[in-house]
Amino acid sequence: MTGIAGLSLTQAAAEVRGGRLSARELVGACLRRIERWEPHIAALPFVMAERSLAEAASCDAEAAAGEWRGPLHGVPIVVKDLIDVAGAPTEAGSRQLAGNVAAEDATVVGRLRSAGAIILAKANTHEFAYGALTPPTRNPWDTDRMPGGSSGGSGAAVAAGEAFGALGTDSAGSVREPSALCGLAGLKPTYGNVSCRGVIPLAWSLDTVGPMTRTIDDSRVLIDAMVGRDPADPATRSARLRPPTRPRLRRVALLGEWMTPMEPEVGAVLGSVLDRLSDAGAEIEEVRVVDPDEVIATIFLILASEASAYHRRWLQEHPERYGEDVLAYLELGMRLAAVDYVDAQRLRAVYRDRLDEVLDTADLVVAPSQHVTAPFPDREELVFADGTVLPRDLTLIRPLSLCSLTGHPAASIPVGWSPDGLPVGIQVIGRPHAEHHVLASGAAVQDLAGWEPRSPQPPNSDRGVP
Amino acid sequence: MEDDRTDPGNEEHADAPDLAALLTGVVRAAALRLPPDRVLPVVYAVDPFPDHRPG
Repeated sequence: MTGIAGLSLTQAAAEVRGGRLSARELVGACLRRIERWEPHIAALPFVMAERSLAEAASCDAEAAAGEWRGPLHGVPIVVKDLIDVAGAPTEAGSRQLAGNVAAEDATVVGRLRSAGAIILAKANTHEFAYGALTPPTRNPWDTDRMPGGSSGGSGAAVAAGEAFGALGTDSAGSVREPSALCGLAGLKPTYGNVSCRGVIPLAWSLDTVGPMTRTIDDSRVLIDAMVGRDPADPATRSARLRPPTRPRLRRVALLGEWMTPMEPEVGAVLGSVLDRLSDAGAEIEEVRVVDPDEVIATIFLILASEASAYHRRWLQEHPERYGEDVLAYLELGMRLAAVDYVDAQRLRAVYRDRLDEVLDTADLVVAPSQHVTAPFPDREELVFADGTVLPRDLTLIRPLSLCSLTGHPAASIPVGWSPDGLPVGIQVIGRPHAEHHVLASGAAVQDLAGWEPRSPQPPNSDRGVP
Repeated sequence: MEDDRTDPGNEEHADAPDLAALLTGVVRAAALRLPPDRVLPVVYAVDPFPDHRPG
């Protein structure tokens, strides 16, 4: 990616701060990318072009007067259409909310605006964030493939250069999964570190809001602006970030239970990363925290119970407005028993303590971000070389669910490419509130891996997209 | 939604009850291995990390 749209978020912000680029130029560059890419990836159902240009003009006028809103002054980003932006639609990808317009900004949107960000568009989500397909959005690295979900619009838009960063939500992997499949850095923050007021819930005890960006440093800048207590969200009572610490890569724990099944192309990249860590002096210990099938069952039981509770009224009054897959999941949730929900919540405490024990003795904890590269949307089952056949959507959240259950921060960091040119990520996991350490460790791993960013090209492109 | 068995929409999702049974079966088996007391349900909305307080 070249030109203005090829800048990272931090570079774009620095250009505005240095007077070399205007906010209007940043917005204009993103709008040109949107015009070129949207016919192919359908990531942004609501683009606020005029409003964004007007906000950019205000930013530029303030800059000319020496006034700066914050570290994101004049930088356009997009926000998953599950998150309220005042005056803009929040439809959550559902006919259930057709025509709904948000009256106020979500708290996290307000925080980013205070830091200077311009909200350029709403990004597509799987209906109510309850799925991984995110139709009709496609993956910029191969538009025949899916971007992942449920924050698939955010992932596709940032990968295509339609914005300098995005917000997604992650309740069972929905920031990290599309980040991995679209070649982005994606951070699920510590549960309770970012306010969810103004964000449509999927499952209250799992929901988080996280940044999705082309560079790790961009995610650091965004999460700094996002974290904070919010009286309107009781989960944020302990919100804070631990101070940055220098990453150490000597004692590395690999969560081995998620290494199988594995697409060979993904396994090759992860194996290369582990080899490079070892060559650099790391002692890599493969540890096993919990049975993956148990984790999937536990998170789905909690998520399905809480989602059906949230949707109960609509489910009774207008079930016909849901898509077929979401309706089936919501009906499933209505049949679950309270005693099983309670036991699932008790299992969470055990998993949290086990992961804490691993974090106590390791400098770095890693796991795969995905078992596969971006799948094709019409294949609902994934077939592995060892003969394993798994349902696609549960497989895509499989390596990500543990940290959603325990609440620990975790990031998907891009570290390599498949022979087909599809991105591969690795997951870096940290202690509660240690988002800075997670991202710094991820940057160290990415450097060791020899990560080389690439630029996707629109189909039928002359490779001259500005 | 009072009685799922009368919901015609369920006919198209005949596998949904099986998935529910599968999931709850796994959770019940795991829960049976938990010690009977002092493994409290996580209620993150009240206090996510009681052992990781500021300061």
